[in-house]
Amino acid sequence: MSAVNRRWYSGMLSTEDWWAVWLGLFMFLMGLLSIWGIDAVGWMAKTKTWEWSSFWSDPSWSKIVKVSHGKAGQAYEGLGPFGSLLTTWLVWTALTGVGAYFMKLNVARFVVGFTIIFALTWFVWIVGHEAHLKAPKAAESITAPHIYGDDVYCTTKVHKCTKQIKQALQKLGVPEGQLPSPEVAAQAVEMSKNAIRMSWGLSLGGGASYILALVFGLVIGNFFKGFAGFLKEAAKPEWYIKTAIVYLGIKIGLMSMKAAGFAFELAVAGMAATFVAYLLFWPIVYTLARKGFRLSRHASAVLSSGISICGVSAAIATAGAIRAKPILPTMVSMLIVIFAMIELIILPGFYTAVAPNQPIVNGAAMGMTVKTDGADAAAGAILDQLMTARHYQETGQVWEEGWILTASIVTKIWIDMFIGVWAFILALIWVYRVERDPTQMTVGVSEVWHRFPKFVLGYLLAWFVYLGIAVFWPDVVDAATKGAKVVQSPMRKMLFMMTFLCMGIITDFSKLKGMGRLATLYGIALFAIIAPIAYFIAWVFHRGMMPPTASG
Amino acid sequence: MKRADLETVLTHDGCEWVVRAEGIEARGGDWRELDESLRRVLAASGSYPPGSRIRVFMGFDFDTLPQWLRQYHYHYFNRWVEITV
Repeated sequence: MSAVNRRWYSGMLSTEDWWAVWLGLFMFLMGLLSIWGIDAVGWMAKTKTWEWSSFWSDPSWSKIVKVSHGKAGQAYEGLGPFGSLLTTWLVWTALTGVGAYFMKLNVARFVVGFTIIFALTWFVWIVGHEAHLKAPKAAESITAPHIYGDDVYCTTKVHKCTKQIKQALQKLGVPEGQLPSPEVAAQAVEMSKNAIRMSWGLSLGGGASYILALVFGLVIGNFFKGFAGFLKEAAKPEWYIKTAIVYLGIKIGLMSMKAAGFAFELAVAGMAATFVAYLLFWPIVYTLARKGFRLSRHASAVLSSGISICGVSAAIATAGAIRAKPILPTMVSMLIVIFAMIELIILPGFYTAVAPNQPIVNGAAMGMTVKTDGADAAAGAILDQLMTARHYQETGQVWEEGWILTASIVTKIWIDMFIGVWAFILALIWVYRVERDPTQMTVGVSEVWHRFPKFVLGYLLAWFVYLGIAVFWPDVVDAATKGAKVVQSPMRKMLFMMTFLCMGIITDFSKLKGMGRLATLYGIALFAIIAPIAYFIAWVFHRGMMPPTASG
Repeated sequence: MKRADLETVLTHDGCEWVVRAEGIEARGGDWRELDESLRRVLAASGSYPPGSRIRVFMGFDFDTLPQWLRQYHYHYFNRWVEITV
């Protein structure tokens, strides 16, 4: 049976892009049921920040994992942490297994692979939540280390920790606004549920888990290639990240309830930056490929789109538009996937180090520089965590989590949406100006639709529904938020973690061997042309934009 | 949706473009070769009167691309041509 996109609904049951929409909207609707008091998502397991000496003194699941029910009711209290984890595995295996069936994957192999990836993901995720890696320093240790000591860390959000310490101080008879003595401060820290003392801590936030997952995946992909090959049926980073991006739509919807103006500004700036970037990147790289590296027209066009626009999808769309032989986008895509991993490893740390005061510029630049949706979302998530943690350590001020990631995703989504239009224009140019094929009748406008990234529909729907609830039904915001929080936080983060791990699993650096001129051109264009220009454009359109600060 | 006189499936075998429909197969290293080959096959089939113009839809079979690549994008291209038998 062939996979031809003939009708507008072709691929709705057989492609990962559409399955990201179905999985995304399914959980989105389950989350929305909280408006009517139904908790259909509270079974989801979530990680807890834990400290190893405390864990080993009395090991139990409840120290490292918990049920999400706290956010959306008490319906799943009886499951317990391990039961919740099992239910999470069961539900997600069933849902993705159905998708695998319709996508004509080997379902048995998919389920086994998915289970192994799920187990590895949770293992790495839990390890990354160890307090020495993750926990931020308490605000008191940053602003008043002479009273509290500089070794107090939080196993929850910083503002919650501060609230607990304040309440403890009140119980100890210290009036609000007055500084306690070091002895009383020590007692207050002791009384606070989520404040702990540690001799050292990296304070990486959620970034620790993401980095660990990536490293773990890369080790499997490059040193255990047989095992990686076995897992490939279920190692689908693009599927997982596109589903997670639909859930991110919920998060942005929730964030827009508080900062609608900023969200709108971010979307418009992202669109403008993307448009300008398009006009600059493509002609520069195409000229370099043709004149500097003497590549053919076909190879130059496919490579230019791959480097300049949005990686693999742009390379395939462009190759299709110019009717290149399928081997060309396959080779270019291999390069893109490997270089995206290199960017993902280098750029978040680099941007955090050189431009710690430009969070949104950094996020937007990431969206324009890192190719493939998975790598961009992953890099944006690491950048978000690293920059937020660093800003807090330096200023004591907490940026609301998610805005830097949003900046990187918004630019990427604009790029994704433009791909179809760009490929359509290129197809017209190619057919009527370059090839002048006498038998070719026309280029169908339906090509634009077939190349449109469908997961964006789910993302926008989730975003606007939650925004609409805030605007038109403010009375149900609290109820709607309960379900939404489970979907946009533990579910989204789990899919992010699986994306990180799977990207590592499918990245085999040895494939760069033999790529010669293509790889050299790609490296030069990416780091000497695309990255600096993208950063400049991001700075022009996003400078001065700062994430809102988190409130208690 | 545009109507075609002949709906075909297009693939690439690593060397040549291949067009297939029920009882029909044509091959070519480039588009001109492929279209010419298809014209000959259609003429030989006897299904179309000489001189008739046939609108052919060539839908690219995305399964031609390696499976690992399909997660990134799921459409290559479709081609419409008009062939005089």
